[in-house]
Amino acid sequence: MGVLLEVNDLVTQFRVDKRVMINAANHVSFTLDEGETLAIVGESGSGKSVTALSVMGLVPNPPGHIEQGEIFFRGVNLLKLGSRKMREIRGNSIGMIFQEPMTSLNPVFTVGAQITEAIRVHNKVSKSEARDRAIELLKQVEIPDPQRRMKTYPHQMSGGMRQRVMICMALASNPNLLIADEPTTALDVTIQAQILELIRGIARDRDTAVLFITHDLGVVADIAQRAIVMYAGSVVEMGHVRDLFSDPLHPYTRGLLQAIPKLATPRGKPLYTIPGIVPDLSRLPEGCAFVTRCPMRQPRCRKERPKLRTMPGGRQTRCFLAEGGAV
Amino acid sequence: MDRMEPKANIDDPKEWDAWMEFDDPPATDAAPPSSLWRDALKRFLKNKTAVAALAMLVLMVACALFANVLTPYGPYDTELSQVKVGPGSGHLLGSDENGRDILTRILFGARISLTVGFISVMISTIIGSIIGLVSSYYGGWADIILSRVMEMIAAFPSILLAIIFMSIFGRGIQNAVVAIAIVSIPGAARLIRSVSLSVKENDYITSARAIGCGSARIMLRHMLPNILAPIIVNATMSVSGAILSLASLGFLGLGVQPPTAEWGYMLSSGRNYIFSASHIITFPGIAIALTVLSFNLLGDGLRDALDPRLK
Amino acid sequence: MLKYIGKRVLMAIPVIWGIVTIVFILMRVFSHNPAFLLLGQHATADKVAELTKYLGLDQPIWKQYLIYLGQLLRGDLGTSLFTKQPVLREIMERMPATIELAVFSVIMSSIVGVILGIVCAVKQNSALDRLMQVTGLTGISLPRFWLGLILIIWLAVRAKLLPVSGRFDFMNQPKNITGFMLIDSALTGNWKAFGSTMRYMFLPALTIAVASIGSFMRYTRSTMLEVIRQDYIRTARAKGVPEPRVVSRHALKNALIPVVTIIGMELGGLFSGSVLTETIFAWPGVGQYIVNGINNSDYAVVQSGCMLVAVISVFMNLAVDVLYGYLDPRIRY
Repeated sequence: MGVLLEVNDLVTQFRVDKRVMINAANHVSFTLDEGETLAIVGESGSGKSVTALSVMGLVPNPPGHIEQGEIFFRGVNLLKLGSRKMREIRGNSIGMIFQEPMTSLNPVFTVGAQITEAIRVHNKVSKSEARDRAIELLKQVEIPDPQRRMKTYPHQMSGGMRQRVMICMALASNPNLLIADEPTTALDVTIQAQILELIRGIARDRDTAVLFITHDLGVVADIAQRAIVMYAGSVVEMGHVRDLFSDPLHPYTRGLLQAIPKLATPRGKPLYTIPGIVPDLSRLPEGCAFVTRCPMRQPRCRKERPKLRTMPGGRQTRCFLAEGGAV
Repeated sequence: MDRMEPKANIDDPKEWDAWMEFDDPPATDAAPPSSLWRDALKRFLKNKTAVAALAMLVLMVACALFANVLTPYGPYDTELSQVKVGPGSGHLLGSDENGRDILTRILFGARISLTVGFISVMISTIIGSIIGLVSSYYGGWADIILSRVMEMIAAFPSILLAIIFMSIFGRGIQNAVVAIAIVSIPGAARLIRSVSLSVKENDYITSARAIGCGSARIMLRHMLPNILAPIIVNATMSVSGAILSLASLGFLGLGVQPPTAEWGYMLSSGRNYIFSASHIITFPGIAIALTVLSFNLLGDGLRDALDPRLK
Repeated sequence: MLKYIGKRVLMAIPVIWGIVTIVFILMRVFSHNPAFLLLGQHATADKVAELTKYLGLDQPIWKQYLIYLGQLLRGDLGTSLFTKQPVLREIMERMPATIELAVFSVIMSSIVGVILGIVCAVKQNSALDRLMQVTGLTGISLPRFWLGLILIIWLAVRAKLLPVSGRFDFMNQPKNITGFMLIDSALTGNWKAFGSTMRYMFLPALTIAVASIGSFMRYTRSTMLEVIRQDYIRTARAKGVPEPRVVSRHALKNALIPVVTIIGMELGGLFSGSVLTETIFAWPGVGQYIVNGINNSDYAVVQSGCMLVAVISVFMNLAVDVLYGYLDPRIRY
């Protein structure tokens, strides 16, 4: 299978003050194969959403902008495309769903109007054809009574239903890539599982590649083949989900894994959390970004920033600990 | 070289904490904690338009205070040989139909407008704050009754209520102050009610109640300081409205007693000469516009400085 | 929807009752005996007593209040001291002039103001935006009655482009059908009268619009900026909707809903502001009528006129509320 998306050395900056710029995405590189599901994991402020928005060309400007890098989608550098060509890709070959289904749908238009708009922006079809397709799509995302649902407004639906409508719009033009930015975070646990199942089904049945952004490593095992762990704007570890779970290379990934509540955890034992807080991106330490919270830091970590190095088996990690095993 | 072993067992928070303590704390050059008001002042001083407006107002207040020193004429000095003289030497902004110096009358008029503006806003802000705080703090029936009464007063277009009031109680500065204050109470009360409703939900109000603070103390010591910013912004904007209302009343012949030098009354008496001597009405109008604009710009600047989220 | 309208109407009733009561309290409790006002200072005590009895002012205050409410319900707003005509009839004759001017000005200024507001929001913090913000605030700060006089001096007296004052010239007067001259001249196909009416209306409408455009512009700008930050705008962009359509459809429809409330407030403000504008332009509307009442110490005219204008503002707000409900689906259901 070929490479669908290739992000090279992406730097996305945000202006936080008159004189202060931060690198919200700091030299991020990764690839995504056709039909593959890749997860990007990290805490809020790790740069995972910014990376996704950069791919979509939706970085809010001002205050943000893409400083450097390349984003190849099916061999075309998206950053070199004009706004018109980029718009034709958005919603057409790349669909996106967002974290907040409550606020992501326009409150003054019916669900049907919003779905048919997504269809008609990219496809020359009549209103009634678009309507039929919208109903068909609503069926595919398992919304009961689609005909009637077309005429309802977003505020009349539950969060889970709205997220299905969002997915439905993202699928309107049969995209090759679906970007899901924390699609389940705002939902109840049972609804979460349903939406995850729906996205997994879409990836499988339509052979759509999925870039799945989440802060929940627990979800990753359910949905993705590979995962990227981000911290303070940088990729700190990348590899197969299997490897990541069984043998995390970066102390941060270890910490994240420990923080997943498990059934086997003995009662009374406090849930593990990584001590400390995500550093302020405008005042990153000189050395490794994780040094303030790392249980395994050495003097060197304060002065030198570790490089992302590739390990045997194609795994990558940004930690001096891995040097021993480096090729 | 083998993989390094962790210095501390990360499964044991205690051990880790101990390890963290020995290590030097992460170097942060965090900005020194500065108060909300100092930050606001900094933001305000950066806003050139707002600072210019403030300077303009300070100048106006100074002119009003020293009006009798600044001009050789008195506001009621009539000179029948100098009737409707155009702007120029002698009378800088010309003279009116009775030969009175217009600049002098504008300067003395500033005293009236600024005084009425400040005092009426002070009254309406204090009463509005009390009503807003009480109805948000107690809720229930107190809130319903106060809110409905405010709604009824607010249903009157403000200038009309002031007109009725003045037509019943008669002309005069004191009556004008009361009339203008009354019509601006509902706006102030509604705003203060809505902001203090959100402040009331904060934990520090609950904790103040928990340690046994009385209602009055909670409202004045705990809630009031937190809603001061919107109160100040609203008051600043209200002064401009009050000055416009006074001028409107004066223009309708319902403001101060003639021949008091008041901007609106100057416009209304000069109105009959717009064909022959338009300068009589031009300059008092510019004075009103400049004052009102300065208060509006100042209010805008204060809002941006005090509540950066609104920007 | 019907339920919503019904609810709004029911909520307006206590407000109207409140207005009526406030006027009553001001008139009867705080005011001097109206009989004095009616008869003048030199009236004999006998005459005053007679009139007091005739007006029912010797009754206990609660009884007076009930009588007053009863009169209002029958549409009796008292009689003008000056013309000896029923106030209600005189006001109704003048109402179309006031409504026509107010509605015309609001339509004009809301269209211009909303467009300028959108431009400012799209070009946020540009030099153009800053200039328009200050210009708009200046427009709001100009006293309307003064601006009207200045416009008369420049456009009517000096440039002779437009008539100085009045509502129509006698040569070009449309046949009276509705009282709204623009509508009447259009209905009768009298386009000459239509043009003439427009010329007369332009100056007062412009005077009103200068300030109104400023407030529409500032309000539209701030709601647009608020709306453009919302998640659903990002969704629209993610769907690949072209940017002009994002602004004109997705953002504008959400931003216009709050702008509609400002239309209501402006209309209410214009009705009361008509007291000033109509005086300056000799516009034969309710505002001018009230000012004449002030000058003639015709208390029934002033108080009933103000009361009626206040009640009409309430209905204006009611109409806006209904429109609001129609535009915003979250309220409709």
